Amino acid sequence: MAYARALRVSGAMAACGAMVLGCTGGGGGSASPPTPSSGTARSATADAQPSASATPETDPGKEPKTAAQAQSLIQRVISGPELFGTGVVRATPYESDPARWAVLGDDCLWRLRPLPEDALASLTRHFEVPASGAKGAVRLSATVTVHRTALDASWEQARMLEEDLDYTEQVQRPGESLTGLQSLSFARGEGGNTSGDDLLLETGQCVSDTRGGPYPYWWQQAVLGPVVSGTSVCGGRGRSQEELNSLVAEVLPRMLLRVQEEIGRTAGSDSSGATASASGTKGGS
Amino acid sequence: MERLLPADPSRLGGYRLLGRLGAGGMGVVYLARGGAGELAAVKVIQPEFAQQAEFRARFRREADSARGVDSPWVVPVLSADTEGPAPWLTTAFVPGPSLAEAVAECGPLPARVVRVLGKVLARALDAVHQAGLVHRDVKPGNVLLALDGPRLIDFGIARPTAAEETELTSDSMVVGTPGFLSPEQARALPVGPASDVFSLGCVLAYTATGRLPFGTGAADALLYRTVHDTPDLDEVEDVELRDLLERCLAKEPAERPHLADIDAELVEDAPAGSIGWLPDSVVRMVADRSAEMLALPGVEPTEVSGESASQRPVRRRVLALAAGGTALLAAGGGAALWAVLRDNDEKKPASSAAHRDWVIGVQADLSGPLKAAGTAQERAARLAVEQFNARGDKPFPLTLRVMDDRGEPARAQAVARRLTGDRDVFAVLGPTGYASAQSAVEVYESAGLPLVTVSELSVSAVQSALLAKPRRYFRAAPLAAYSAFATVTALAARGSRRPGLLVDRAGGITGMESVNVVHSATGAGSVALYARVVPALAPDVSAVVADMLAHGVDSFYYTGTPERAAPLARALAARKFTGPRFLDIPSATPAFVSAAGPAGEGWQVLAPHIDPGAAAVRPFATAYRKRYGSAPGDWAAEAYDVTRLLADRLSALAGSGKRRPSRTQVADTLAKAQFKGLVTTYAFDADHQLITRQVQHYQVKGGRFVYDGPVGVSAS
Repeated sequence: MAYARALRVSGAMAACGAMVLGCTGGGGGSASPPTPSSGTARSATADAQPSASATPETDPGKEPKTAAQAQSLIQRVISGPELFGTGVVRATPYESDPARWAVLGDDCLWRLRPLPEDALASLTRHFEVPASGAKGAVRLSATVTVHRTALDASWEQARMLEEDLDYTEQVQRPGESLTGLQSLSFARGEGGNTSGDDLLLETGQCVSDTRGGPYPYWWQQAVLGPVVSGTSVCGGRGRSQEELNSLVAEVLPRMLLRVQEEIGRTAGSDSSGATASASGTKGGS
Repeated sequence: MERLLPADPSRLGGYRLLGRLGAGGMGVVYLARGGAGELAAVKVIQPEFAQQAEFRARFRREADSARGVDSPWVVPVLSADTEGPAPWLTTAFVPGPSLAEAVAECGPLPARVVRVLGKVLARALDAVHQAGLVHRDVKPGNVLLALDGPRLIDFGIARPTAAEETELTSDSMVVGTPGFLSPEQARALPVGPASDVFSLGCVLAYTATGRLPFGTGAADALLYRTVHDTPDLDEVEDVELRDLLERCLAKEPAERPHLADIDAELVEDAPAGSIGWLPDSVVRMVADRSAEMLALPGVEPTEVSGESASQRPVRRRVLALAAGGTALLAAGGGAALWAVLRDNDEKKPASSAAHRDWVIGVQADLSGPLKAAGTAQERAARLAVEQFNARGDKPFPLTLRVMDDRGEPARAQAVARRLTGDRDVFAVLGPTGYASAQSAVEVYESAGLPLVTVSELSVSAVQSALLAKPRRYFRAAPLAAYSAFATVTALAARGSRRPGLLVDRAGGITGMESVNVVHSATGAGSVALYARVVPALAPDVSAVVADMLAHGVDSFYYTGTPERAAPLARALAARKFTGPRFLDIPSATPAFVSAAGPAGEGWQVLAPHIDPGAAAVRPFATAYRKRYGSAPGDWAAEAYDVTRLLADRLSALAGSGKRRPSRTQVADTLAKAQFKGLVTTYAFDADHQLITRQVQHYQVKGGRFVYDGPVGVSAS
């Protein structure tokens, strides 16, 4: 049953986020004996307390009101290559035009359009792991969009879910398409989602005229207040799911943490000059 | 350890490779033997990474860093080649389990042990810092327990403290292990030695309680809690230790104690090259593991082939071994130790079957959001047990142990621990809902205790809790997915050609699961689904009704909550919409009927549970009414059936000898069950889901949901 398989894939992704010990361990161990991930993973999930944490909420006073403020916020929270795994570099072109965003048309084709009235700014950055030896390149991206209100942002998330129900195949640009798309969305406290108001996982395959495929593709997108953050990964020849997951698994959580730092109700109140320096560019607009 | 692959080299430097200890994205770690017969771990970097200048620089740094550290508690680097096409590095091999494994297998360690460990690790880290490094990945997996004491390992991500800071701020990877990261690491800020102190605090808290001070779960949750939350050290019973850990876990690096102070505050006899201070169970594990690792082909090729590590030595013998372990290993090698261990037959205390209760547990939400369902199940289980115990031919009296988890994740987990920790419990009925399942199922899986639910019917709760399919979690009613699938069929059967799916995100993941089923089911059929998704923040879902009707929708299927379904019902009634209208399971409750009023008339639902007033379950309803003075609620009949199923299986296993079965035997016999209950015949598929072909149909008539009987689920 296709439905069950899609859930399984998504579930594995979500669970992989929950099992960071098992997922991120091992890679760099120098003299580690064969620490079976099952042992570590067991204790990792046994203690999962999905909704035990305080609820991060955004502070309307800190939310951007103008396009310039929104663009400044995006610059502070969006990931560069550093949050991805080893070997991830900037792709060319690197950044999109912050006054435009991609819109899916009725013909299943994505096109760049001016931002709608309810969005203040949107930026996408593109990354890649270059091809190496027998392995093909991996494409990655990070996107942050700032809306005027949290309700506007939540409608963007809802539209994304609708799009996958309407169009399971989408054309990103001529010669580059996504197929077999399915989405699942987790409210706070569900499926290990504790830092976003709503977390969307889209899974499918990416196919390219030049790069081949289908390869695994997934997009994760979370709403926090008026900010929608997302990451994508499109695999390449010889790249395993685990390898792809390790590249993106922590990027979205860390971007969300940055958003929380910037506009969260608790931001800056807990400690440290570190917060002040991290947000020292505020007001630069 | 795994065998070498054909592509693996047989020698590297002066080392003969024996097998693979582990492999990751960047390279492979081999077990190897040097010219003098010494064992070593050889880490080889994959050529594709070696081609990257940045990576090679990092690897060079790791080798240089580790060589500069001088401590008996830090695993020494023996040799390295950082310039060849496939750079490698060898460290002494420590044939013991990691602290992570020890805690996972043996549970939390006593406070005294934690203090000794804290003292040793403080010294080890101090040596690391003295060498001008920050370890940056202090975690239980990087602490190995050897026969001659603990060791800190892995300098894979250690960095100079200050010298290269500017180089590292922009393109450095964010690394480390969430759960043990410091707040400054979590925020990707520059880190100093105090960051390792924070991680050490996490490691010690984990060792003392078996739990992480900021919980576990998804990386984002961990990072968030690390930065914002107060650490949970409630279970650290030693007051002085708890005080020290609180200071180690200060959010502000400058407020954390120095390592020398930690060393001084932890007043214990420092271990002089032994593990005698560790609990017996851990000592046994260290000895076992050491024996296994040292008795390897290529080390001592005879003696051990075909033998498993299942034979455990008795405790006293191992203590003697541990005391003189190093000497024994030096003198006789692994095979000798192995031989000693094998001589001991495991002598279990004779199990006294007398005076032990036969217990069925109930984990239910008795006071939280699902208390109606939970209470109905608990009462039904009680009735079933009372009836069983009233039988003259009962093989044993059954005891019911009921615990309320309030539907709260943390409490659900605690309840699961209590029930799994009671060795007299053979199986548990529950949990009631999603949140409890998500945090409790893993506890039952780990303990091997069968858990049978009648009302938690999602796919994703168990999937987000486990990576594998469940071995001990049984679902004794049709999954919610069947109801969604049957709803699509029902809409088509009622003539709908353009079904409208209104997904209210207030319904959460259980609603989303239905959506995916509907999408797949309609995608293959002749109907043209029109779907709208409304965010939970939207005040009124009926905002999309006009758009849906404009798209020719001729029937509605709503997934969400009872309260938010009511305005939709009113909006459709106002537009005189008379097409088929279905609710999903969570929104079809009396709360919907009372909130919608007359507009709720005619709304339908296909649900997994039978009407407790249905003819099929009348004997139960009658007995229930007699016992409790009221009619049974939803899910009671299923819970009654399941309790009887469990009693039946236990009776069968006990046989005439009245032997107490193991939990594994109970799970196995449940998996093969063919039990005829009142609701249905209970049999499970390979995923431990009820094998079923029907769901139950209800329709709102006269201000309440009226049962219309079962509906077949066609497997088209």
